[in-house]
Amino acid sequence: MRRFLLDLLLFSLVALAAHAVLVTIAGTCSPAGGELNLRYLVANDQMLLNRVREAAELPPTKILVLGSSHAYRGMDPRVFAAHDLRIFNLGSAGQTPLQMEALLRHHLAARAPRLTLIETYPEVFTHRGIECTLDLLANERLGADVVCVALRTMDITVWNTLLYTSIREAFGPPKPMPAPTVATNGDRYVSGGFVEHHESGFTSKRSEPFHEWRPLPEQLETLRRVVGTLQQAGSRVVLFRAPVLPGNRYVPEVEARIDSTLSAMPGVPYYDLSELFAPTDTALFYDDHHLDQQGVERFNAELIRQLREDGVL
Amino acid sequence: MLHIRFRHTRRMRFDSLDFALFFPLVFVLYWTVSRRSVHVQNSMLLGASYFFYACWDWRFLFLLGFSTALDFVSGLLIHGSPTKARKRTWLLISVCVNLGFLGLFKYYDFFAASFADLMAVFGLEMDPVLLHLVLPVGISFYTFHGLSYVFDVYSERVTPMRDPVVYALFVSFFPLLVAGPIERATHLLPQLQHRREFKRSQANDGLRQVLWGLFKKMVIADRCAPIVNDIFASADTQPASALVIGAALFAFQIYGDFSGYSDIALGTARLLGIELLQNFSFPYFSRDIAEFWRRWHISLSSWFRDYLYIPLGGSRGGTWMKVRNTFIIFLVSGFWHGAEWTFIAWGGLNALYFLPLLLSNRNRINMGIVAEGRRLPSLPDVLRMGMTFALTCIAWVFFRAENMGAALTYLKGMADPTLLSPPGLHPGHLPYLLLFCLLIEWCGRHGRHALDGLTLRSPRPVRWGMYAFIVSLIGMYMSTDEIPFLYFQF
Repeated sequence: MRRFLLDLLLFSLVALAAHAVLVTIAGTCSPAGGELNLRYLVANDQMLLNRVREAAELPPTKILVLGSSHAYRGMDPRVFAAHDLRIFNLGSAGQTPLQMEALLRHHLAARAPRLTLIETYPEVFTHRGIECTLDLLANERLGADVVCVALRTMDITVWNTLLYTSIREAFGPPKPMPAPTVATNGDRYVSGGFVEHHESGFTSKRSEPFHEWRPLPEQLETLRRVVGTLQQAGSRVVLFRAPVLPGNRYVPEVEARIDSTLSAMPGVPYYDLSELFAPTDTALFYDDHHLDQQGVERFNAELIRQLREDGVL
Repeated sequence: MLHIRFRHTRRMRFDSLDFALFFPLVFVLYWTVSRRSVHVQNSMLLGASYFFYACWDWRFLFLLGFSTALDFVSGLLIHGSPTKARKRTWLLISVCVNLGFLGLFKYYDFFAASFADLMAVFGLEMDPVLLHLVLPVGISFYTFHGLSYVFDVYSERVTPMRDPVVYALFVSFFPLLVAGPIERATHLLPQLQHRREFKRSQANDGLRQVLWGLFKKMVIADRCAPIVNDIFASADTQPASALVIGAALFAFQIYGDFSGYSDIALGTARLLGIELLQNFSFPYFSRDIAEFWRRWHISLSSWFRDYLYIPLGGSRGGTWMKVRNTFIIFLVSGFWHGAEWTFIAWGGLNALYFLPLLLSNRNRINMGIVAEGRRLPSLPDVLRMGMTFALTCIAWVFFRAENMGAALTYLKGMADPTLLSPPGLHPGHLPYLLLFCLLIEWCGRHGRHALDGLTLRSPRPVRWGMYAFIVSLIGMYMSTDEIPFLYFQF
């Protein structure tokens, strides 16, 4: 029995080494993975690489923005600057509280915000954020926090990418310097973390609201922890929802549950602007739930107005 | 419909993380805490088996418990009956109750709806009462376990088990509980009555078999599944070439799925020192349909042979008897898989394939391993294997299709002139993975399972290199979608 277990342990190490070799070969030949369970997209169209580099280099701003693509594609530093407010946008694709916490641990000290706006797209509470973790692995510094988040996703693609990232960080070439600021689809990176998209006009894919929202308890708990960390660091925290079209909202009873869940934290105001624009205002969106530049400017102006009206700003 | 019915199932499957935590714990406790006494070993395995089953749906534990108690008591009553008539009465009661439960859960709605359809043909409109019961997982398998036991007690092939723990474990041993193999009392009970000793060679072989089973399930079957689903869902718009590929891929999907499951079941049992019946023996290397059925789902085929075909007279009577008995076992076998006409058609078609061989006494000419002692098969063997595979693919269309209409549309589409047009599929690396799978199976076809035959005589670095490569392939290619085992619904 003991010999069997020792053999099994030894074989596990051999298998891990063999897998590391195969992952390295696959990642070098095809970092995007294709059909393989591997996605290493450094300096990709979500432009997290630019964002994390700026987060480390730029001086602190009064306001920090966190959240999913609705944050980094929906909160324009130039609009805030026009209202004498300086923000930095640390959103990332599909960012859930788990990845938010890891990013904060890396950047909170450098950003030192006095106000943090957390975008809370309800869908991000329902999973562990595979998309965002893959983005972090390829573009953020690989630290214990990111490794923990990657392991917690329980996803083989994330785990393979973690293995490849570890090998690449140890032996591979450095990440591109400077990172590109224009995406393959024409999106443009704007200093301060924003990604600008000008094209609008699309055919809506959904019109029916969702009927279910099943948040993971660990995501809600992590959000509470993130809020606590920010408050301890001297930052006020505001939660908000960005505008979406009706196909990305929920039926009224679920909306009520989402609102009551997200507004339940004492001392943390919550703004639901998901219905800011009428269902017919599709010209302000470039897909079902992302605003185009015109929509961003109107949304940001409205958010600033409400925050000022409530004395948050 | 196979993929639709079980898309949302999330239970303790062999390829789940839950099982990856559950089994090592059972393994360690089994070989450390409980290794000194057979009673403790059995009690521990029984507890683990019930826990495993409860993870699927704890409510059906009562049904499993009732079925177990029924057959346990029936065995004692049959054995203790002073007359043949009394024995037969108890046997009949046991069979009726067992099949009654199976019929209620699995077949009631089918018969009620079919009866209403039949009446509609005669102009009588009926609104049948359908129960829409959830099928208890594994019910077809454990019912057949129990039936084989009472049949064997009745025919005095085994003496009845007096230890309820041993008998309960025979029915519910977790590696075989939800999808077989369908065990026999004569094979499994004696193993459960003796203390199992840990043997490293046996455990190593178990691990090898689990590894190959995981590869077949997680890489081959799960990678085929989405392509097959797409093709079958849009069969009426696909060119014939795509339909042919879809049928062939389903053949690989169901093989990878079910034989992969069986390999994992046999491997985990072997890790616990218990040998289960072989369920697959490289069926796609068969040179005729008779050989195919000796190599595919062996435990079910042999069950029907021993408890249905032979009692019906087997092939001892005249031509009519042979034809009748052959059709009966193939149709019943098809019906066992599910209450759908498509399964019955699948069984009937296989009977049609089989009959010419039986009637010409050519059903037992290919008893050995193809190309035994040679690396490559002869050209005639290749052609025979290809023909057999093609026939099984046609039959699989019925097995996979949503209904008879869809199956016939699919088959008609396969015969379309667009057979030579590009299929418009993007299989990616799948052809290479299939080729790798076939190569390993071909090279390992002399063994009990592919890796047994392939690497047993190789030096350790070669063996471990091969296993590590397979582990890595699983890691790189396993599907990230949850695709349940197809046979869990039977």
